Amino acid sequence: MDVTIVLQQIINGVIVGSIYALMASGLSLIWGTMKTLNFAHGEFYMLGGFFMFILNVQAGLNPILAGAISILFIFVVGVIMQRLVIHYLMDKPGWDVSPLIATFGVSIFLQNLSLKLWGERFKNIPYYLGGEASFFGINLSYHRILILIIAVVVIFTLWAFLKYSRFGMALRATSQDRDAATINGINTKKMFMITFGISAILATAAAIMLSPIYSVNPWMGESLLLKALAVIVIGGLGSLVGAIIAGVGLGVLEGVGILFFPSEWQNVIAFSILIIVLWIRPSGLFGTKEW
Amino acid sequence: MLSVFEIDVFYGEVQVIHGLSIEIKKGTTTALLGSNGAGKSTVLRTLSGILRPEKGQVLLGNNRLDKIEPSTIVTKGIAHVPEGRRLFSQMSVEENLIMGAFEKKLWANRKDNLQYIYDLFPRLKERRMQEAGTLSGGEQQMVAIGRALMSKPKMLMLDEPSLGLAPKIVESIFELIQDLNKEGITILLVEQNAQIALEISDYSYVLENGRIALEGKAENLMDNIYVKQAYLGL
Repeated sequence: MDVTIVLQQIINGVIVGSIYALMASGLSLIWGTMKTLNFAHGEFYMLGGFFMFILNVQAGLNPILAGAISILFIFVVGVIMQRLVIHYLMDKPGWDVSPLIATFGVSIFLQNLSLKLWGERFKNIPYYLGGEASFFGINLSYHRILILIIAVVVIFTLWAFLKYSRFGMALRATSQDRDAATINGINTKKMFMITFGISAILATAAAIMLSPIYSVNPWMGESLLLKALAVIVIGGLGSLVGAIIAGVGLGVLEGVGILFFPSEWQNVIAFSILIIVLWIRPSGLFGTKEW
Repeated sequence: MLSVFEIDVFYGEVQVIHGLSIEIKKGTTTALLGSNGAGKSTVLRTLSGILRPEKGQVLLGNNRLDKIEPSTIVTKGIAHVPEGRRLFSQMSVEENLIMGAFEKKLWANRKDNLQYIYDLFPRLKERRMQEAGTLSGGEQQMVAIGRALMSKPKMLMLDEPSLGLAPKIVESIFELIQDLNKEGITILLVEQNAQIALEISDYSYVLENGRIALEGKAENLMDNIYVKQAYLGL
């Protein structure tokens, strides 16, 4: 087999994987702090796509401004969802699964709301950057390069925020011991709301970058959510490093896998890896350590 | 300084504290004694806002502490060293200490406060980058106390600081508590080790099944036959 084709697929895989990592780190953040999964995470992504379409295509704003406003809006949506839904269901003895189930409900609600508001027709957003680069016989559109750059910048910013900022440290403290966080003056209720908002931002960033490649529609979040769920389980629930490594790793394996299997087998590859990892390391690759 | 007036505290359906009142005078060391399960930790957790009393009041001066957002209690000058230390185990020693200065005004001066803690516990400076969960019990207790001191408290509540530590380390921790008290920090101490607690405290309460069974000046309690039998094992 030609080496350049394999190389091309690896690079494509890294790019797709960086988006998986972006989506998965949002889920991971929520699991780390609130010990629940957010099945409406795909709908944050979907809303991000629609906001981008409305602002960039319909209102004609430039992509940077449109993206910034979308991020701000979806942050607020995330915060409101936590306050209105998750907040009331947390910490009820015997209700451990209820926040998770409620996120299913929110997911269905948001899908149907956007169907009602914007219709079922698929919408397209033009590439933010035209043209493509060629090197070593590999062709890569500038847009895809931009995806990778944005994903790396966003994830690195998230990491630095968690590691060094007053707020990020408080967020980690909350995830490790809530009562201890409270007695040190951290308002954990606020932390939970902000965590949801940040998680929503990550999904929106993914949506802004991917929407020009795939089209915008009310169901666009479903398949990506499924992938992101597989990624956080493979990487280890709550582990940010795990989400990043598993995300990129899965992207590459899928990319290379296409050379050997038909493309509709992509999900089979993802979930086979999931099953194998669960078999060998039930807590995921980095599951013992929380970020 | 701080007065607790007839509080009832529940864990779910179970009432743990029954109409309990205590008074902590400024600048003193007050001990809360009692056997396992008497409700000592529950009282501290109520004072620091983790639990809320169903009835009664917690007053700091004229301010109701049981009605304000729990996370703001530390900003009123009350710091809590919880039972079992409760460090952020996957964060470094330094990060743990810094979290004690989370409040905005303190955050600006966190470097200076950190230096003060490192002067107090040179050992922690050596270990500053180490994950808190990997420290020895004594070192963890130092981090827990250091973290509480980072908030520049007027009152320090310590929950069983001697638990699980070697006698020598216990001694140094109690010396430190006395020093902090001399510097003007009001101390509320919860202990199972009644002897050592009575030695350093001015006033003590003995808890039994969530009620005050006995109270008095430490030297009087030390002579009390009941205390001798029940807690000092004499």
